[in-house]
Amino acid sequence: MKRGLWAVVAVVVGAGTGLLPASAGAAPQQGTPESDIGITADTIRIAVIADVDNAARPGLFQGSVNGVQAFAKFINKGKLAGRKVQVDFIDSKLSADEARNAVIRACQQDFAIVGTTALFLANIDPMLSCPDREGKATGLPDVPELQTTVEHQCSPISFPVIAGQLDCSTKDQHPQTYHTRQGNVQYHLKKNKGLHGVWLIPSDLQSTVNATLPVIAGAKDAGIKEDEQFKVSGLATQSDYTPPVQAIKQKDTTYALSGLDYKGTVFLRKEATVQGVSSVKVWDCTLQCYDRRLFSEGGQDVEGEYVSTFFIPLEEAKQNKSVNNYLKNTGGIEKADGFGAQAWAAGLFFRDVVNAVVKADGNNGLTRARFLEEAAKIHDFTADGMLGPTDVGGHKLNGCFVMSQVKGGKFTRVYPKKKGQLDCNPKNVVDVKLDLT
Amino acid sequence: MRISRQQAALVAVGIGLLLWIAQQSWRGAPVTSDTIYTLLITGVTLGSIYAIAASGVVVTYTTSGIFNFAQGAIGMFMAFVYWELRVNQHLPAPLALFLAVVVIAPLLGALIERLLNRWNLLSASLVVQIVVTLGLMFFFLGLAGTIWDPTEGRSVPAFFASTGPAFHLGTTAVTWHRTITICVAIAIAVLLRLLLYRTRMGVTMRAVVDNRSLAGLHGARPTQASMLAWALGSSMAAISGILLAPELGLQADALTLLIINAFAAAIIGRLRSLPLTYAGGILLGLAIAFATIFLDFSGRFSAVQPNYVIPMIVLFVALLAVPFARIELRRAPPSPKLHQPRVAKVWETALGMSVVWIVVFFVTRNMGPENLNRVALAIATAILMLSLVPLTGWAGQISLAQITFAGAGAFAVFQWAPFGAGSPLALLVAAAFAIPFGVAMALPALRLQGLYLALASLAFAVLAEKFFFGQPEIFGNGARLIPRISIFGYRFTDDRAYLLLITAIFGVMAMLVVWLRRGAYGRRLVALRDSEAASATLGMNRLTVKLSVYALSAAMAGFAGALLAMERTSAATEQYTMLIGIPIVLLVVVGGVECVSGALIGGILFILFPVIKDNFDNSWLLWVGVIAGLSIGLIVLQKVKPNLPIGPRLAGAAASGVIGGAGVFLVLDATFQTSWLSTLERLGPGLLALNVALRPNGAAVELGFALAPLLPWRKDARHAFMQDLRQRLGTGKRPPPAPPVEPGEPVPEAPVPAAVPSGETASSTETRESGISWKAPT
Repeated sequence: MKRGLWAVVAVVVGAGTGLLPASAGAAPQQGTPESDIGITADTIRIAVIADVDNAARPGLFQGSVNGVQAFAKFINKGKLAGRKVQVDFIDSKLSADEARNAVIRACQQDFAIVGTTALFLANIDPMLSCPDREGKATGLPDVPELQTTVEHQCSPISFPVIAGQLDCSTKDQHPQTYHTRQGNVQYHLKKNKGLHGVWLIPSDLQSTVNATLPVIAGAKDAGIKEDEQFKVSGLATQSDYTPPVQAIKQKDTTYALSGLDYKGTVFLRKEATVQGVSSVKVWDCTLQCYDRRLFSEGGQDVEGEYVSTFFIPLEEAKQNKSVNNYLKNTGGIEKADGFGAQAWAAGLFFRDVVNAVVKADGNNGLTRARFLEEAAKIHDFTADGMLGPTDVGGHKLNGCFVMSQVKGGKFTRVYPKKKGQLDCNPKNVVDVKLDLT
Repeated sequence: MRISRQQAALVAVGIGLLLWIAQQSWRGAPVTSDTIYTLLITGVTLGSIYAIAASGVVVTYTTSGIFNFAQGAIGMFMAFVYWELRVNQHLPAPLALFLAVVVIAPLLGALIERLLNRWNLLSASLVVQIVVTLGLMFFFLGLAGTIWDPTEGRSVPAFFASTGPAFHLGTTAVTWHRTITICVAIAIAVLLRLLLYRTRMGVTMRAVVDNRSLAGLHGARPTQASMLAWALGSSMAAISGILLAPELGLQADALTLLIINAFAAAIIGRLRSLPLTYAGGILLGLAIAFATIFLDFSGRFSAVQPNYVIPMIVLFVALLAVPFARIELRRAPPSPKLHQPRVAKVWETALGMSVVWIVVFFVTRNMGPENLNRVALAIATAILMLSLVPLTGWAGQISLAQITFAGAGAFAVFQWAPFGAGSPLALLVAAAFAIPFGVAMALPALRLQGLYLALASLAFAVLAEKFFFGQPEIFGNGARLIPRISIFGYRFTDDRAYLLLITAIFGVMAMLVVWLRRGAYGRRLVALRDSEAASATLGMNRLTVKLSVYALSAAMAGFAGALLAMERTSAATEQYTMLIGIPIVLLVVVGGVECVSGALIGGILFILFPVIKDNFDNSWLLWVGVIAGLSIGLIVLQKVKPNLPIGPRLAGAAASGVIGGAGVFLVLDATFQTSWLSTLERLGPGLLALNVALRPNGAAVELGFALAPLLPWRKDARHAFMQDLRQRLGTGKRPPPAPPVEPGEPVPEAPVPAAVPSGETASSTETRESGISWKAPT
């Protein structure tokens, strides 16, 4: 029996290897409807690469996948370039090898990648050298949601709806220039004079540290004085928050910014409650806190937490058609989150670029090369009103924001007052110099 | 406890280094009574959790001789069970606690002990014990993620959360939950000490480890004692998991990793002393709190997390103080029930590797780039796994840091490339650069042995990841691009060409390894593994041989790391983490760490589950259920009704197949919320590693035994195969079973198993080849 079992394993492994499908990305048949890889007469195939299934953090970026699938569902009520959109979800499994494989697979069978959220997509070479139907290394059009490396942030074929902070023209200089949002801090300073603060920086990855430091520099530039900074790991227990909370207490800190995810913020606030912190006027948090689990897990302790988003809050579906469409197609607000909203916006950008190509060249003129050309020309993308005008083609960060606050166990808009509006003052983005590369 | 001058010097150097780091990273925060109170409260609370978890490890180790790497995962799993009872099923906290800690956890512990005992893990080699318990860890991690949807937010309420702080120390409030945690840790330390040293059961538990048979002769019940020990250890894990969950949230990975940190505390207690373990836990908690309050790792060390790195530093320093390992007399003889590895001839390896190359050539002809890359990854990983064959397979030394040497090779191949990027000489530079890493790990580790060595390598891998690979000059913030190898002007940018090249390289390296094994050096390594005492008696310099095999293994891993980086065309810090390295060690043992073909199988297993998931659909598992049911039906009928006619026999088997398929469908579909293939991918690596308990010699040996009779020149294999078959069908005689072997017990001469093709056990072969004739004292 033992021999038999091993023989079965051997046969299964051998047969499995032999049965592996041949190149799915074989060159499409000649003919105008199949204008490039991933495009047939009836479908446009797009990939979403995200870390979902893995032992360490299962389901990590499922929201992004849901967002792109919601976009496809929405589009498929009609047609895009005379075709249906087909979503190819490729799991990068929190692994650099799988992320690279995902890009290679997408290059072979998909027209573009949309809503990419792969933490370990460090090597974008397969994306840059991806050949089109003619065999030219045009590159794989990429509308990412997350870019963790300098190479990805400065990739010429990547068009993130929310651009990275690094000014790519300075990436080889020391220090480099970073564009950072300051609107939320300006708002807080208007309401509360003389804020001085403690910052909590997520320290598990160099990329998360580097994404938070420009935000802190921007806040200091706006006039918030620094009391102290603490680096906090995703493995931190609530007890680990006692030192920062004690620092807040001892220095009568009035501003506390959490760059952590919602869970870290919940621990911070719970510890602050335990230690009886009363000096803080502004508990601020970045987009990661825009998660319903913040108040489902934090309860009363997270009341008053400020969260700024760069899109119309999901609670305003009645005031915003795009948000409404996103929620309808993703299964309601319970299944929606910040990652999903960004992925949805990435999908709409993809749609706009395809429409621009179709307008110029017709339904059968859609190629990767033309997509990249047209993407670079879009300078006022709004995701059907969900975002403020954004220069996606110019890789520029927009300063639009909405300030929400947790009140009564839900996110409530506090600024701008009027629902469906964003503050898009150009002064909301400032440049800071830091040496992070 | 006596500490030699050399040890004291090593510890002093370690402490001096820590003080230097502290001075360099000093935040500048004032040292006031308030910061001291904060330090005490934070440190003691966290330390208490570590102390409880470490006590569980010590109890299990003291009473069963197995270091349970799955302790953290069991704690994590029980925290989820507690949440299920307390929050999801709305049971009162005391009842949920009672069920989780007093009923379910001990049952789980006893069940694990029964399985391990049934699999003879208690008398298995250390490598097998480590791999199986690590497999258990991965299994529980996968199971928790499968049963409880990880995208849902869950929180475990702290005890008496609504009643405000229990007391204040200065301005620092101490909650009831933390007070309870501290008290529980003290109570557990005291009660365990009393149990182990003042009660008959405790004395029995310890006696069973010292000598199971002798304890039995004195009226003890070794089975019960061992089960009780595991039940206790599991309860300790549950308590630490449940106390940690409100402080950390229900995150499977974080809960598991934090309890792994407690290993440092267990080592401070030398895996024996509960008071010292408790003190170690508290010291660890205080050190982490100190770093959080007073230190700021910035600049090049900004990604250093105190709560991840400090336990590993403490672990490494604590290991420096561990006394010199005693020379092991002799390893346990191989079980006569198992097929033993046969040392292949060089020409046989050459033939086998040629076949592998031809198979790869034909199978990959029409393969898509994605699967082509996966196969290339498998082969490159197999080369890395090959580096463990001399080290672990022959010399019996354990290293969980091969990934670090691979990373060093990846760095060297782009940093120093004589004659241009991708020149073959760069590969040799990579191999050479990895050697100092191997020696750096081996030098302090040489004085250690077995488990301590494994833990030292684990700590070394973490420290290298955080302090070396993360530096801007090494892999920095992002990935380094690594060009493919270029030979005589031809650059292997084509994926298939590169795959064929590295397959050929694997073949050549495998031949060299086999050649080495058949030579004097290989025999020395095996002799060292079989009996260090005999080797030393014959004048072998154990330290030199050990150091040389570490250097050889590191060079091979560095070489493999360079090839791996060229395959990926990049290298980044996250590819060289300790957690990425562990599956490499697990899977090569699953494949068979003593043979070069084991490395190849390990490489294939490394990519197996992603390939299955991406290339097959869910219905495939249904067929696995049907085939499994069919096979089980046939086997059961053969056992129960050997004379049943063919018709009813087939009908019975078919019915069993249907039940198997339906069973798989019902169990998987009803139990798990994710797709079956995702479930397989999550649980598969853990299950494979658990299988090592049943097949300690690995798949390569079993496959070799099954396939060798097909080779024309292997008459001996055919003879052994037929003999084995006759025995299994009940028409031949089985050799008498070997008596159980206990740690520290004089080992009787092993009977020669009939299943061994050459007619000799591997050990007896090695002994003859090494020219050693030595018998354990009785």
